[in-house]
Amino acid sequence: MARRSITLDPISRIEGHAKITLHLNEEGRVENAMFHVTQFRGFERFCEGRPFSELPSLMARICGICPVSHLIASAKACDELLGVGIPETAANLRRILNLAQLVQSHALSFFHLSSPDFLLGMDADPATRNIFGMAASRPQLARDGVKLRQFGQQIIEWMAGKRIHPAWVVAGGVASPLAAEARDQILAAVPEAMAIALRTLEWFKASLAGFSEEIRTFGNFPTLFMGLVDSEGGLEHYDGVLRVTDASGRVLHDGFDPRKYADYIGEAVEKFSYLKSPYYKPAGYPDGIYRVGPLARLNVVDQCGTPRAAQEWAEFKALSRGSVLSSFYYHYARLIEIVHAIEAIERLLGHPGILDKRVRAAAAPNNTEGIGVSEAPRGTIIHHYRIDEHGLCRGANLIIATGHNNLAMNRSVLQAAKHFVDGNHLREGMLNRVEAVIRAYDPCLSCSTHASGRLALRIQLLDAGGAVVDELRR
Amino acid sequence: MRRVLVIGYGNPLRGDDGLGIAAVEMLMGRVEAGLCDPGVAIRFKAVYQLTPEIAADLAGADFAVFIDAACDNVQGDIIHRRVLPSASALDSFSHQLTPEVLLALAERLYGRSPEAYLYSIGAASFEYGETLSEPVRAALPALVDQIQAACFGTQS
Repeated sequence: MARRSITLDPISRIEGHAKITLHLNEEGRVENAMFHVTQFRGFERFCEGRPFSELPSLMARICGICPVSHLIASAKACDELLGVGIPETAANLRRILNLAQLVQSHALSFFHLSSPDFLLGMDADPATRNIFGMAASRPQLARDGVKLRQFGQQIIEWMAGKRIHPAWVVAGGVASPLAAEARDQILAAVPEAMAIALRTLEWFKASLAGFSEEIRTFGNFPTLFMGLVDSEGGLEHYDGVLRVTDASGRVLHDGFDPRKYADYIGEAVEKFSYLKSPYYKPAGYPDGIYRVGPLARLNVVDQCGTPRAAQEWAEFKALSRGSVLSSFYYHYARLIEIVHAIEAIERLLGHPGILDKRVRAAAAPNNTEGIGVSEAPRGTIIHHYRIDEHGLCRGANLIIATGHNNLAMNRSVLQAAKHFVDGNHLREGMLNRVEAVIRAYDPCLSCSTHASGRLALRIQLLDAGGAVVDELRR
Repeated sequence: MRRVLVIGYGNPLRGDDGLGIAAVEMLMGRVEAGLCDPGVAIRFKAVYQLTPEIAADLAGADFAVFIDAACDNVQGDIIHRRVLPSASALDSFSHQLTPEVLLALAERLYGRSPEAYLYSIGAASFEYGETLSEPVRAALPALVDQIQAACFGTQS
């Protein structure tokens, strides 16, 4: 039998456009797998020549799902260009906004993109394995997903305004103080959001027993993990230092200054994808494979920082003696982070200075280079800018969360495909599992122009000459 | 009071894909200037893409308008059509939802969906840039006139 390849193009239920190619050997078994990102964004070039003060709102447009994450990393880089320390209240308001972003993004990933698999099964008919099937089977779960996403979105609207590009987070702080009415609206919404998060977590934990094979084969291998931690080694999404741990849970680097990221993170490029392949430099390429995001964050920290999430984190950590390795557990970690975020939002809003009027430090640029790092829902994002004497951007480097996970996603696809896919007898459920591995990472490749039309999943089996010998369509 | 929801969606960094946002901003400006019937409770959403929580907003509206650029029509032509709830428009529950799916989701989850229409202009360019192409820019005021008439029952 000739060597063949299977292509999944586009992958469904992820943010952005990508495809998976599975290469089969003569026996029809998977030999290699590649996760391709097929869209080119070019933001690093796009911002050259723009005034640095425009960069936060410009960078927010990188993504329609997590604009706040880029807004915050960008504003932090601009704080450094100004050379100012921003008021504490401004930092806390940014934290709240970032956590609200995390809640709404995690809710989208968990409830609407991945829950159909959990609720209806990986082998369920794809015609019903979706939000409507979920609504028919467990309407309250579907409504909970909407409600939790609304919770995060509304906080962002109440704090940063309703327009599509909130210009509220700016270099030096935030543009205006928090109104008491907005604070009270958010606090009033906290109990329902927390109730939803906790009942979803209980339901998911009870469901895990039905996914032991997926847990065993969905990106379950040793890698490094990276994420921000606070000064006490606690869960941190806005500031702090970057910690790297290994599969055994050993801390390899306890807190390098994010501004020195280039000393520790290399950026490789592969021909088959527009997405960079960052790696931990001390380990080399590709051995320096690491993961970021909810799973990594819960692996690198010493504690969770808020009481309810701390209980859940202790239970989560008990899954393994060292780091929790299976990428299937990204979903679990996502839910714990939602609990943490709701608790942290409530706590921050109770800070006595949260309504202070002084929320912005003003200055002209004092530095020509600025680096901003924060934790987006999907993991660490790094914005690095260089400006000239006129304050115009002369260079930018962005490492986005999904990029950090690129090597791990590729290896995960290969592991799952080798386990589940038989090229001689293709079944939809096999290929759904390969996609589901990618969905566990919740990659955000970000939409560019969304032309109308079908985004059907196409799976092709090609022979060595490139001829289609089999094809599945959803 | 009639509850109207206007949703403009698209990426304003990709040329004509910013049509939905531009139309929302123009109509919002007219409302804020007092040029529209105050007896209508109108809400606006300007978003990159259609996401599930918008179903809850739709369930609370009597009338809804979606605004998006069209890539398969004559450049500068204004098009509008009725949108009906349809779960079958959900092929694989991809990263973005359609108006039809959102309306169906509103019905399934909340038991109701509004009368809804999609308004578009045939786009000329989706290349990087923050400006609309000339054909789309020229047609934008007329598009907003039509949407305003549909929402308020009056022309500006």
